[in-house]
Amino acid sequence: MRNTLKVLRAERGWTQNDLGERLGVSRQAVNALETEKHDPSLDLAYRIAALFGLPVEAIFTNPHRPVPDLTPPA
Amino acid sequence: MSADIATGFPTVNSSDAACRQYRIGSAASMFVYCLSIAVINWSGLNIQGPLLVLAVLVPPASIAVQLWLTLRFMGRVDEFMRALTAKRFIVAAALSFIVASTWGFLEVFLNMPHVPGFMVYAVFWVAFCLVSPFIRTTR
Repeated sequence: MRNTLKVLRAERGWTQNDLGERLGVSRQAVNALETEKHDPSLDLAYRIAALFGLPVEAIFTNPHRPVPDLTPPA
Repeated sequence: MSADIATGFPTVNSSDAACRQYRIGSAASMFVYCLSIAVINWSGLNIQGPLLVLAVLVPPASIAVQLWLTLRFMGRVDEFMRALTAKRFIVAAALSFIVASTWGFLEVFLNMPHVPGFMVYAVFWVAFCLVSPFIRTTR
């Protein structure tokens, strides 16, 4: 699942290990999330959202919600 | 396990401790497994009756302990490691079924040499080791 986890983590100067410790998961789990090798459970997604103080969909792209067309009308 | 002041989330995960305990427990159970097989082979037919039954039950008991340790490990690590281990476990089990079934048919219909059924457990862990490097995603 596409996400901005790596960017959010880098903005705070955290390593994958730092983020893993804050979330209570392994560094491997953080790496798998960032590289889209693992889709988080709802619980973990909520934990990540709470940690960064953002809605879940601001971090993880919802593949089932159509992307709004932001191009101005002709 | 401590908690982050801001979020209340756990700040220390138990994966490292779980891995360490799993490795130690697995090594111990496999040592007992190999030792018991060696003792049965060494003793040959010199042991009889209840002692032989007891000796024969030690290897499967070691297998049960090893599988219980694996399930306990999966229950203690984070969701990624749990899903990854489960996926590897299922693929390895499927390969073991295929290998065991294939060999069984070969034995019956093509007179291939007999291989004891308990070897399927070793086949399973060999399969697990072989598939693990290729299963790196839970998707």
